Amino acid sequence: MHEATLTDVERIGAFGDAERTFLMTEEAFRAFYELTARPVWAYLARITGDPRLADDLLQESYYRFLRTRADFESDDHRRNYLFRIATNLVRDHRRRLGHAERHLAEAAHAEDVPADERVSDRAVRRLDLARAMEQMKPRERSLLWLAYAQGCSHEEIAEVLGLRKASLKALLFRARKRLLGLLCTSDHPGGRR
Amino acid sequence: MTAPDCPREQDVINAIVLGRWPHHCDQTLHAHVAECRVCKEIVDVTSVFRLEREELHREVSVPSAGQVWWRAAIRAKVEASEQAARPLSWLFGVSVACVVGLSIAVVELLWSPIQRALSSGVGLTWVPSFGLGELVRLLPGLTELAPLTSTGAFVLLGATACLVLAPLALYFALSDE
Repeated sequence: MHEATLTDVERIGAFGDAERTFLMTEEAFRAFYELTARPVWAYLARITGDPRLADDLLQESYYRFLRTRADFESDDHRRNYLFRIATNLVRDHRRRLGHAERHLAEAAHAEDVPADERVSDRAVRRLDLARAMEQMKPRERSLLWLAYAQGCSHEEIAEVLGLRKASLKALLFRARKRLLGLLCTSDHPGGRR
Repeated sequence: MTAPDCPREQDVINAIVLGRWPHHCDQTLHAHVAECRVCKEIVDVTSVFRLEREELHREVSVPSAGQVWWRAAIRAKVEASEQAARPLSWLFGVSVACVVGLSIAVVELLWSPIQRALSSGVGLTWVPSFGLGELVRLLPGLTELAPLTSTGAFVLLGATACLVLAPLALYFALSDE
């Protein structure tokens, strides 16, 4: 199948067609984007551990969101739906990457921190968190980020990750304990760094 | 291991995430956290995540909403074009399959008479001014095709041409649109 390309006239036409194609007006999209883009990017960056991949997945998440035909009951529902799309994109990406390749990519990003950031205490804490998160399972990262960075309720997390609410409390508890364990290890001088 | 629960867990998380903790929140929440082991742990974890979230939000430069909208609009248009072209591609595939099938059928039909004609050593020279009927009558091995020559062969050729040319004409006519 050949790849379709557009002329300049068609590109301008595409801009006009967009509001008919998408269920949202451009104005509504701008407002929604301003509220959600940074949190979604931060979520993607933290659960993938790769800011460049987060950039790509952000664009893809919004594209899929705009193409959806779903009805949203509220702004929270709309936002959770976007997070769900982002989560599924990360899952798909991980599936495409082999385990070994994934491990190498994550190890490479672990060192991807500017030297001046290593100076301050805040930076050290961030680095500890980044390293601890890298050692956690993808689902644990998502759980922790949604619960403690986004402040999502258990219902919202269950909706975003497609989990049963009943099992969420235990999963979150285990993930939290594991994270605290990893953070404590990195706090001790003799701990694994 | 059972997960310990606290009814004020979400209040503590919300206070930290929304930036009310520690100075702008209810004193009862402070008192509760001082006594509750679960909530102390929640404060530790949520504070770390809040710091990380703030720093990431500060550092990141996401593309503008207009840029994302524009890219999505272009991509939707491209996908719509591809989707519209898909049936034409199918039609093209079907017409190619028809041509191949008919070619094989014609070759199969003509192959044994031609072989026989060649083996008998007759009619090795082609005379272009002859019609197909005359040629077949001149070649002893091709006499089996005689009934087909006058009308049948032309019908067959016409049908072949229609089957081949009609989808192609349709494809080229519609592909411009």
